[in-house]
Amino acid sequence: MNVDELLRLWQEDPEFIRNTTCWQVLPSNEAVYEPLPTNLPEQLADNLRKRGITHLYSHQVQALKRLSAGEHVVISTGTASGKTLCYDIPVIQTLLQDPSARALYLFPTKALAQDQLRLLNDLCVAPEGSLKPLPAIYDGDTPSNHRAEIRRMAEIIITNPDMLHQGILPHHTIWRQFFAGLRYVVIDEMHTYRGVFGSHVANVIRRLKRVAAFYQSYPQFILTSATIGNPEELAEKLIESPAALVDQDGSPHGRRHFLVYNPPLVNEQLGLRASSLQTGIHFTRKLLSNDIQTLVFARSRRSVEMILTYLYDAVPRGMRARIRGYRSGYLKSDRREIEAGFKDGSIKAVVATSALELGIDIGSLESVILVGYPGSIATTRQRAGRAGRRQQSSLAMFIASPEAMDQYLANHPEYLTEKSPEDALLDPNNYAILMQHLQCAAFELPFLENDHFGSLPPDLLQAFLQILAESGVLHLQNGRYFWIADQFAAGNVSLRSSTPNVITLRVAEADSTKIIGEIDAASAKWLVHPEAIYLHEADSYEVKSLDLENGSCLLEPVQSEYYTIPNLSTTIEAFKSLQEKSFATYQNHYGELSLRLEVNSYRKIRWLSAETIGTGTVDLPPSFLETNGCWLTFYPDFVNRLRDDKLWTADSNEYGPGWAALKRRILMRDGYRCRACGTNGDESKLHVHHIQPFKTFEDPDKANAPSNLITLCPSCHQQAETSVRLRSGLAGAAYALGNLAPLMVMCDREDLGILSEARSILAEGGPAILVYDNVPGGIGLSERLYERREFWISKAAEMISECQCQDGCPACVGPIGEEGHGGKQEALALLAGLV
Amino acid sequence: MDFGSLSEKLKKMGVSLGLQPESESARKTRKPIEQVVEGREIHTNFGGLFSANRTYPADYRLGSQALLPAKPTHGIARWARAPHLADTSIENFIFLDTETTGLSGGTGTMAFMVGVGRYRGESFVMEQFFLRGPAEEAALLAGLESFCADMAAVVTYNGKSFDIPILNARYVLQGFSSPFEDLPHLDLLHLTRRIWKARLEQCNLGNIEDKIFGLKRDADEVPGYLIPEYYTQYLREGNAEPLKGIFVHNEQDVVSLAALFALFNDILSEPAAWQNDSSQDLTSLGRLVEQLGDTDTALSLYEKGRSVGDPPQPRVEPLLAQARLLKRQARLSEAAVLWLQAAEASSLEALEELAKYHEHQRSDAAKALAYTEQALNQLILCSPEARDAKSLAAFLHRQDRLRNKLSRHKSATAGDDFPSA
Repeated sequence: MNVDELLRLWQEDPEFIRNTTCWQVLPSNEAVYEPLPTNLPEQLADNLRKRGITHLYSHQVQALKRLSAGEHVVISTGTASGKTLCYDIPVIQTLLQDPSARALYLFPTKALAQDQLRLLNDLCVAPEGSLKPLPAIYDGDTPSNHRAEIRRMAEIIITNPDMLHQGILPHHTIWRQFFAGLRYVVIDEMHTYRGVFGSHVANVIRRLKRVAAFYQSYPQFILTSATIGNPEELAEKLIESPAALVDQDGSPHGRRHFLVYNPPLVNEQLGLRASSLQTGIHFTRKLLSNDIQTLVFARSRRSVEMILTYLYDAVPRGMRARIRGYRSGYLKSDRREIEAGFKDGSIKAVVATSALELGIDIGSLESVILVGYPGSIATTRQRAGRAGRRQQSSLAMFIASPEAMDQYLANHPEYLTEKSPEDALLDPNNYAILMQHLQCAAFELPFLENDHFGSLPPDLLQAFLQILAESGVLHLQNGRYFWIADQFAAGNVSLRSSTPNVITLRVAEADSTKIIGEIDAASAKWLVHPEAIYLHEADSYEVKSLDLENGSCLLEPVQSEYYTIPNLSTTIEAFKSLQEKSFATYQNHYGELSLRLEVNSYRKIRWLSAETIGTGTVDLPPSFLETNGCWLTFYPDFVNRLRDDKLWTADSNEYGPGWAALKRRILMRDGYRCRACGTNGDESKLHVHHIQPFKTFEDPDKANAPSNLITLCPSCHQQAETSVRLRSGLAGAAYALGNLAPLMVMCDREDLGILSEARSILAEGGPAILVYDNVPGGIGLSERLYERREFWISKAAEMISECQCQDGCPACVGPIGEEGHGGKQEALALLAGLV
Repeated sequence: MDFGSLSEKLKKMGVSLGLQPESESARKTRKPIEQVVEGREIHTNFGGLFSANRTYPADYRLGSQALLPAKPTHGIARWARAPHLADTSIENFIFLDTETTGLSGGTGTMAFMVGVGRYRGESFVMEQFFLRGPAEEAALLAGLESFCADMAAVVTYNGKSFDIPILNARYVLQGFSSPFEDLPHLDLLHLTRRIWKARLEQCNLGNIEDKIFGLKRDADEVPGYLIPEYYTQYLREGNAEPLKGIFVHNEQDVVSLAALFALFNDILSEPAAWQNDSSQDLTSLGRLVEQLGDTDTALSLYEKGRSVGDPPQPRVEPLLAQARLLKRQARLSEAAVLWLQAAEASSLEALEELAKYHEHQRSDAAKALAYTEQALNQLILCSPEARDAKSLAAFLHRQDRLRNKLSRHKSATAGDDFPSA
């Protein structure tokens, strides 16, 4: 069967339709194109024709037009729409006409750089066989004995932001010929430059423009992006100039089916669904048995391996070689092999984590399956966009996992198919990040007293320069700030961390250790505390040790049935409201905060079911975070109304055999007095209360441990229960808000901190919910949430009310056991009252 | 703008800001350089500049070494791949050493002191240009260029990877073109390593002065790694007193450089005449000279290296070097004589060559096998750590091959005469 026939079969299956929350059919499109421009140099036109390119799509024509008018351009048409030609053509054309002209290409990964070099090598072939203009990669892998020649001879330099930052800009004098002729800067996959990384890169671009200007060059920027909510805004933030948006895709494609499949509930009460992994395997097998080529994306290496294992078992022997796994760290030759195999059809299925998504040219595919939400809508669309044939139909299927975002999107697939709400945000003027780059910039060229740096307000620049002069790294003389420190300024600056304090992540290898990455020292305490399960590039590791003093963390690869979540206790030490808005039932503030963060314990959560299966302790010093946040406080009459509406009966739990005897022991231990107010009583009058609710434990013995039991009088007990319920309502609301935020501000869940307090200093002792940027100095996330609070709150309420669980689950307010009972009703009542 | 609080804020965010300045000890003494070091103001088109200068007379010696070269420059010019320098006056060689604000290179590193010297007649004149502040850099670069007028070559110690790239960058940053770009560059560190790495191990200038010139440095001078710090402190506090030691250090570097140049120049002018009783030095020089194409001189140096000091044992290094050269010249029987001597001293290379020689030149597979087995014997008696696995494998392979050859020959020519042993 082909794709159309298979889809028709599924369409007629009521079970299938029941679980499909979205079936979008994009009709086939004719190309909208024009013949190649007549003013193209003959050599370039020839090379294009040799690759089968005789026409340009409308969006390519648009891009060329805007560029020749002198504008900066950002192109955000879909996957495989030919964005590359939008920059290769004008670059090659200009460089052929002007031998002193140069171009800089920035790619976020080496794999992408290599692919682009191959394409350029084809497009730049001159009649006599040499390459004109001459492209070359210049990055960390370039052998040192080639570098001088590349600097001298190459006309298109392909590199990445890290190399530009440490290897090129601080040595710009040996690149003077290149900078003097720099006409174009190409920034590919622009949407990856967001958050902390994006803020760093924006500053590297400021430095680039500054150095180019020293050699009297003012290059044009060409950016390409996956679909995000704010491409123009992001482009402008990165290059600090307006950019013309080209987003109407004129490339042709056959009919495209996009499906969102939500595995059915198998336990309604707990909200447990059938495994998304098994579902993915099931559909992949169906496609394979119909000889339909498939690309399967999974979120972790573990999942990839499981899918491959099941597939290998399920298919006939001969088929096994035609199913391949794919991950980062493969050799160039392996990647080539898989790509080629996919292209010529000898490989029928590839199962991959994210490594494959970035631009690798594997031709258009018949089908793509996404098992689980990859973390952003942009990525989801980019991956799904790999399915698309010229004439025939193609299919992309997103299979939702039980996690909150997956479920929310399954219920609201319009976010995946219509306008993306995701805004890519960054803050180049975050003080911690800016400071590092000001030093790098001063190292590159002295600052004048009345100087500027990108769009940074001049008086702020002067203040920073004075601080740097005071600290001794700069010397002011005759109106100029000179770098005099004996350090190499860019040496300590990591583009992925907001301060230079990083912890290197190491894995044991033979006699020593191998470094696999690094993270911020601040977040290290909760991300990689000892015994934590840490996910790095889709592999899971257990943290064996964390050495804060020496900045290193030892990891061991592990296959565990659980992951860990640290119990972060956050204390607000100081705050200052900068903006506020009042509503009927609540107030919303945006401002600065001083937080103290401590991890004292962590929970072990089983992978597939998201249940808590155990806990552990952590002994690390606290961290202090100065950042920005957005908080909600509630008016007292609203809170009281919520309280009064609550109807709950005393819980009649089964606490296990021997409860009567245990209760007596606790009463005796506590001297027959209420531990809260001191009231005396006896067995009939006093209650014994579980501090952490009974329901939250897997093991009743642990729940009934004496340390978890206290004696309370009936009214204190009721109050405790009330606050538990209120707390759990607050916590549930905070959970929902926190899970939904990435939908709007395009960040990882870890980039935001969430805090709910029943008695908060933010609310003069009343309840409050706080969401803050988990980056020193803030990075623009909570600010955007403050601006879009109505959308945010209403979507969170919607998410909870639509959830089919009874009293809370990981998909809406959190797994039972977060704080109290599920807290679903309470959370919903709270949020609904704000809308 | 209240940047007191900005400062506080940055600190709270964990932003560490480079060095911390000295608190109040700063205000103690502001002492300008003019009061610390003898020098003068030089006027350039870009402003004034401070420089200390000194002239060394014709008979000045650095320990055992004269400053002036006695012989013509064609030898060293050839080594520098700039033979045309032999035709230029020695007065057009510039000797240069810089002191910088940092050791990592890049556009943020400044040369705050440039010591330069050149021969004038029979004397050696030196200037030490000094930046009283970064704003004087244009003047320094102009003054430097002026001093270097008509220069044909620059001589440095490690300048190829350090001093000259930094100076080039400084010229570009000031908007000038660098007079050192595309100039023949004699970096004597490279020459030093070629000649003395084997014997001395440490090839820094101080060690060369000590071991070759017999000179110990002035205690006054500042050790290299502290120099950037002393300068930045001077900039902040204005006290030039500690800089005296840097001037001393820099001056000694430049003078040593000239002395080393004189020494190398005279050696390379007539390598065979080098009065030296170190077999290692002679052999190293021989190798250098051989690479430059002068095989006759190389051979005589190897000869000398073998016999100097009347050694009780055969000297393997010069023997092998000479034999290799002879082999390249197709003088194999002469080489074989040397290999035999080296084999006596257990040289594996010699044994291998003898095996090859007897197999291919003398058609004596049996003898070849004998040498091979001698080598194997040696290897096996070695401790496992000292043994070279690759070498062992190669000799085993050779042994197999020769054995096969011999057994085929035996069976093919049963009864024939065996080749002479």
